[in-house]
Amino acid sequence: MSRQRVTTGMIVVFWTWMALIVGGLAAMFAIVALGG
Amino acid sequence: MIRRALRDNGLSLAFLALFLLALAGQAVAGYAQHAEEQSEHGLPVPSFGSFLLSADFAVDVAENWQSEFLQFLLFITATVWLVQRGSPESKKPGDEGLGDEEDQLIAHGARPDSPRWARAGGWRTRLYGHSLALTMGAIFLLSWLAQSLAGVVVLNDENAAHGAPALSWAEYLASADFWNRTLQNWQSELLAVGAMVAFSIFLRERGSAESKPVGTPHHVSAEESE
Repeated sequence: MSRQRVTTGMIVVFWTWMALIVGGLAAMFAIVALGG
Repeated sequence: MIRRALRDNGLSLAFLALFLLALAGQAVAGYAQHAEEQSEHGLPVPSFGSFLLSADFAVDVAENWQSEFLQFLLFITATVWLVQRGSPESKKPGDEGLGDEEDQLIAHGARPDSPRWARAGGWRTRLYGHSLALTMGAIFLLSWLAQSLAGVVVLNDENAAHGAPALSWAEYLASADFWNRTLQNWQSELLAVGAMVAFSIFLRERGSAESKPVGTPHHVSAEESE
């Protein structure tokens, strides 16, 4: 059976990856801003 | 409910788990190597926590991130305009280009259940129609910037230990260290992508979304073609 709608899981997965990458980049910029 | 959610999202969840394990492994191995080098030079060994918050760790993470996102940016945009006959990663020859409103299900060609910005037309549809490349491109540029900012800190620490003068960020952008770190990652990504496109013409992986079905003729490019 194909599910014809966006599931909560799809939204969670999308924003988890986005948060991981944005958070990772923010952490790296914070590290160099604070002198590494 | 949970079981179904796990199965429906297994591909991204499996890669998330593998990513976290690999990053943790890199942190442990990177710390061990850093601690060894510090003690060989008679310098103080930082704690594991402060290594994780160091430019040494950040530059190693960032240089690999930027190259992966560059790889996908290039692959996403190159496959709009270039084809490889017989590759499942490619559209079929003759289909190069952006496609019309009907092909792309946008504006007048949209379906009732198309995303809102695909139906909207105008700047919203144009922007949404490039949102994947724009996102991957932004992550590439930010990772590359982070690599350069962390890289100059690491190089200047090494220079200071050897009594060599410090480089500015602009000088670092023209340095051998920056381009060696950058290009050693780019070459491997480009090699793997090119090999994948070429190998997938004649080789198969049964059941994989990245492969043609095993019995598909070699000359057929994308799954839906011909």
